[in-house]
This record gives sequence, C-alpha cells and structure tokens, in this order.
Amino acid sequence: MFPFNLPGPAFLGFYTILGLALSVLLWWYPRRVKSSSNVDHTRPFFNAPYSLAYLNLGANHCLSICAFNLIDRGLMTATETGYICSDAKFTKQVSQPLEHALIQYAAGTPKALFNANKNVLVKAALHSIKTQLVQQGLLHSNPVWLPIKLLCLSILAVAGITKIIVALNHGHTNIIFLVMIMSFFIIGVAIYAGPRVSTEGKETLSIMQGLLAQLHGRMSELKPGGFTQEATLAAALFGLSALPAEVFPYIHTILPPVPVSSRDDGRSSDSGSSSSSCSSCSSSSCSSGCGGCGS
Amino acid sequence: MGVAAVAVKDHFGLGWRGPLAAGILAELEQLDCLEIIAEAYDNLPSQQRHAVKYLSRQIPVTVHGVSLGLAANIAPSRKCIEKLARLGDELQAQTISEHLSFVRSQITATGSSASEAIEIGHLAAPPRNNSSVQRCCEHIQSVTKTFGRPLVLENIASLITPLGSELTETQWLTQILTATCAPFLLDLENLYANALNNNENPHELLIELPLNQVHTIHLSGGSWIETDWQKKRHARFLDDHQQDIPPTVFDLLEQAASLAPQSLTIIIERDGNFPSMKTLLEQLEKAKAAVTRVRAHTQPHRLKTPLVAEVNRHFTHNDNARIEHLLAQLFSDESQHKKWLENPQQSLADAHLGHFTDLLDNVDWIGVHLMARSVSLKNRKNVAKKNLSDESLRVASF
Repeated sequence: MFPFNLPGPAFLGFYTILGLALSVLLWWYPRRVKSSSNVDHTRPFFNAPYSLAYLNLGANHCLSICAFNLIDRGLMTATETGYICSDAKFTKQVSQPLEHALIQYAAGTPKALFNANKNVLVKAALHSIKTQLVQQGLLHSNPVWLPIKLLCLSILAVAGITKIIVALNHGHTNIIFLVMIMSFFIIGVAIYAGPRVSTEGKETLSIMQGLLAQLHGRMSELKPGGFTQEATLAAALFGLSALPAEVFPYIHTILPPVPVSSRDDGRSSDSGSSSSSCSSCSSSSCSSGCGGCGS
Repeated sequence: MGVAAVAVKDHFGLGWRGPLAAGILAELEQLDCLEIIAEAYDNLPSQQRHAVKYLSRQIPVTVHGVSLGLAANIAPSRKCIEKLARLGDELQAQTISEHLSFVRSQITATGSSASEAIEIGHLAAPPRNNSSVQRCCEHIQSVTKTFGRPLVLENIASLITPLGSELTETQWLTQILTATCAPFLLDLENLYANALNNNENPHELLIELPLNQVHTIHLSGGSWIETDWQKKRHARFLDDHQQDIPPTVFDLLEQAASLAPQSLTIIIERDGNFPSMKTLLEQLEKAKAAVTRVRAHTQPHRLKTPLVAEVNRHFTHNDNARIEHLLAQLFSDESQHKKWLENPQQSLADAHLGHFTDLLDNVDWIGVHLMARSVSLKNRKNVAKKNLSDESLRVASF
C-alpha cells in the first residue's frame, strides 16, 4: 500500500515509526565502527589538556583553557572586558603551537579571545588538534555522518510535506498533528543526530572523568602560578567555572560564549560540562551570556 | 666485587589519591610507580574503578591494604584476604602490602558463645610480646598462601607503647620479619614518630631493623599534637601524612639506602593538606638525591640486635586478645575510657586481666588519651570524607 494514501491516524503511526527508525540509524551509524586496534587513546591525554578540552567541549573551550593556562603562567593577561593581551617575547617560553599562536594573536594590543579562531595561526593550531583527534578516531569528522544526516532529514521532510499536499488535495485540513510530529523529528535529528565524539572518545572522557572525579572536592585547594598542568587539566575536563573564582579571579572573562548548539563540533561550546554557569557575572552584566561579560 | 657495584634500580613514586589525580596524571612520566590503597579502590563506583584499573595498565602499581589487621590476635577474615588478593590481581599489582597492626578486636564473653567485636577504624599497635609475634607469623603465612606471593609488611606509627609489651618495637618487628622472610615496607616517618614519642634516636632504631629485607620505603610528614595531662602540657608526634617530609626522614632514607644494597621502591604518602604537585615532585627529587648520594658506597647491613629478647613472663594468646580488646575499648568507647581513668584496676578486672596488676605500672596514660582522640578524629573524618565523596560523585557524574 502506498503510504501517502493511508488515512490520517495510520499515516501518523507510519511517520512515527519512520522517524524512530531513522533516529536509530543516525544513532547507530557513527558508532558502528569501533577501532579494532589496540592503540591506547587515553594515555596521551594525561598531559595534553588542550586536546582533552577540544575532545570534551570543542574549539572554544580549548581556546579558553589555553588562555587560562597562559594567564596562570603569567604569559598573558585578561582584562575585565574579556580581552586578552600578551607580549610576543613570551612565544619563546611556550612549546605548544596553540599557545604560540594565541600569544602572537594577542601580542601588543588586547584582543577578544573568541575572535582568535579567525586568526590564521590559531585556526591552524586548533585544526591540527581536531585533525589529530579525528585521526585517532576520538572525534567524528563531519563527512562521515553528515550525508546520512542530510538524507534522513530529506526523507522526513519529503514524506511529511508530500502527505500534507496529498491531504490538502483531498480537502483534509486537519494536518496539525502531522506538522507537530514532523517538526519534532526534523528538529530532533537536526540538533541531536550525529555525535561529535566517537565511542572511543567517550571512553577516553569517561576514564579521565573517573580518574579525576575526586578532584572536585579539591578544586578550592588548587593553587595559581602554573607550576604544573593540574589546574589546566582539571579545567579542561570539568570546565573553567568549576575552578575557584577567588583563586583564579579572571576566569569569568575567558569563559566561552553560550552555545547556540553544543553539537556543532565546538565552533561554539559550553562553558563547563559540570557546571556551565554564569557564576561570576551578574545577570545585569551578562548582556550576551557568560562570554559576553564585558566583551 | 662489592655488592654496591651491582646495578640497582630504585623506583620512586607517589601514593595515588583522588584529590592529587590531575597532578599525578600530568606528571606521570616523572613517576616510576603508584601505590593504591586497596580499601579506597574497592569502594569506588564502577566508572572510577574502571579508570583506576586503566591507570594500573599505564604505570606499575602496588596495592596497599589497611584493614587486614595482621598483627591482631584474631585472624584476618578470609573475605578480606580474598578481596585484597583479588584487587591485587585486578590491578596487576607488583606487590601487595599490609600493616603490622591490629584494627579490630574480638573476644568471647565469659559463659556465652556470643562474641563482642570492636572495629577501631585506625591502625593500632598490639602488645609486643612473643605471643603476638607467633600469632602474627601464623597470619602472615596464611595470607601469603592465599596470595600465592609474598606480602610486604609495614611498621606502623603508634602514639603509645601498648600494654603487655615485653619487646621493643624493633625487636618485635625483627622477629616477625626474620621468621617470615617477608619483604619489609619500612615507613621511615613511622619510625621517626615512634622514636620522637619514646625519646629514642631514630638512626639507632633503624640499624636494629633487618634492612636487607627492605623492599619499599614510605616517606611522609606528621605534626605535633598536644594535650593537658595532670596540669602539664604534653606533646606527641602524630603521623598524619598531612605535612611535608621532615629533614630527619630524608636523613633516615639516606642511612637506610646506604645499608640496603637491594633495589628499593620509595613512595611518598600524602593524605591531606595537599600541596602543589611541584612541592611533591621536589620532595621526590630530594628523596632521589638522598638515595643516589649513597648508592655508590652502599654496604649490606648486619643486624646487631640479638633476635631473642629476654622476657619476664609469658603472655598467652588469650591474654593478648583481652589486652587488644581493652585497648580497642579505650580507643573507641568514650564511657570505657572514662571508666579507665577513674578506676583502672576495675577496667583491668573487667577485661579479665586483673591478675596482671603490674600492667598498670607502665601505662602510657597520655598515649592512650591521645590515641583515643586520634581514633575519634579519624572516624569523624572518614564519615565527612564519605559524605564529601558522595557529593562529588553526584557532581562528577554529569
């Protein structure tokens, strides 16, 4: 039987099953390939907080963590308006390409932290981190699942719209339920389908969270000064806002902007998975979310 | 060719503690090994347990137990032994260690089949006499049989010289270690603390120990605790693992390394008041420097202390059980402690130790008082830590 000739309630049932089936497909497809190699993905993250930050919450979080680390080490300053400033001479004191790029970007005059990813050098450093994560199989590259996602969205849209046209042609105007169900599935698939982080990536994050879980009770004891990467690693995993503001008073100025969608591969990201918050800025001063504090 | 010419590889590591995790992971390349507290690992939720298991595949680990009660008169429970063995296997631990202490007492009430058990929640020194040596050796052999590998034995710090002791601590330890041939986990801070509390010289005590059996060395720091007793201020050194390692302990490390030609594993323990990783790594470097300084001219150590000590009387296993039970009551039961202060003879009689009237001649009243305080504090902290841990778990499991 041609599905578009089905009576209204039956088609709604059919459409719901179709939507669920496509959702399952999109859930399963990116996860279907599990690395068969014995490569250890987690160990490298023990002392790679920027990669961990990128894996955890994306590019903006990675930028925040890098800025935090540089400020903590005294190689960069943060202003109340959310701008960062550095000196080109500090590039000699850093080893990571992202640190190097961010210092160069902010050298001389204060620059907005979250415009940094438009800078060629910073962009290249972030891209390098992302490429490595994709090559390690920890992050899904868009091309893997994007065509499937577009195909599923098309099927949902075409099926729904076709039925609406058929219904209207038959003089049926009661299409509200179909529009609601169609919107539900299309919006749901558009936002949530296609995980950014792979199964291996999630396993890595889970191990790191497991190892560092008890650090939550000690966040207030972390000391500034950049002696070790301890605070940076903790912030990469738990978010900057989990750090004590009285010890690291500049944190609120470098929190990433509020995400438009947390699924866009970190081109926007949240400000801390454990407690994404505006803890250090009052609502009146947060004209555009946390990242908007003074910026 | 002297023994010192043989290449030895010493290992340096830290005790794995959740709050230190980020620092340890970030600096893992600088560590040779980690020591994991068995009971802490066993109580972790599955995600954290899985994570620590993963960590144990990244760096050699040793498992350190705190609850077997090897030196108690009562045998460690089979369940505890098997659990420790299982954890050792699960974490692929290079060694499993335990303390020569008692942590619980159990005694059968007279005229009844029911037994009264007390869990102290704190490592306590048992009566140091030949009977406890014998019982302890039996327990060690039984545990070793289950493990299928040697159990590493650690000396403990004690605020008191326990009732019923006829041997010095070094005599007691040496007898157990030489009888069982077990590897020795020498806690230098514990040795130092006991020496301070007994007005002894730790360097002299050190050479009374079988240093040729030392496998692992613990380093940590402690602090002075004070109390008023009969209108006078008294102080004792408490091994709380919350301070930096004192210089004397580094000196003791150097001395121990100069007399122990075998490879050593040196672990820094820190349980609270956590410093930055930089400070901990500096202390580790200091330990490395102390060992390296003497490695070129290390000489094997020969024991000078006679192994068989003269004793005046023979305490039976039952006597030891009663003494341990009395001590456990005094440490963990406020009313019993009060009763003891008011009428110690009666407390002895109630514990069926009335015939040992001379036990009271050498009672360390201040030590008992401070030990009770320490037990109470530790148990309160454990409860608080558990609550905090539950809270942090809720936060962490986002």
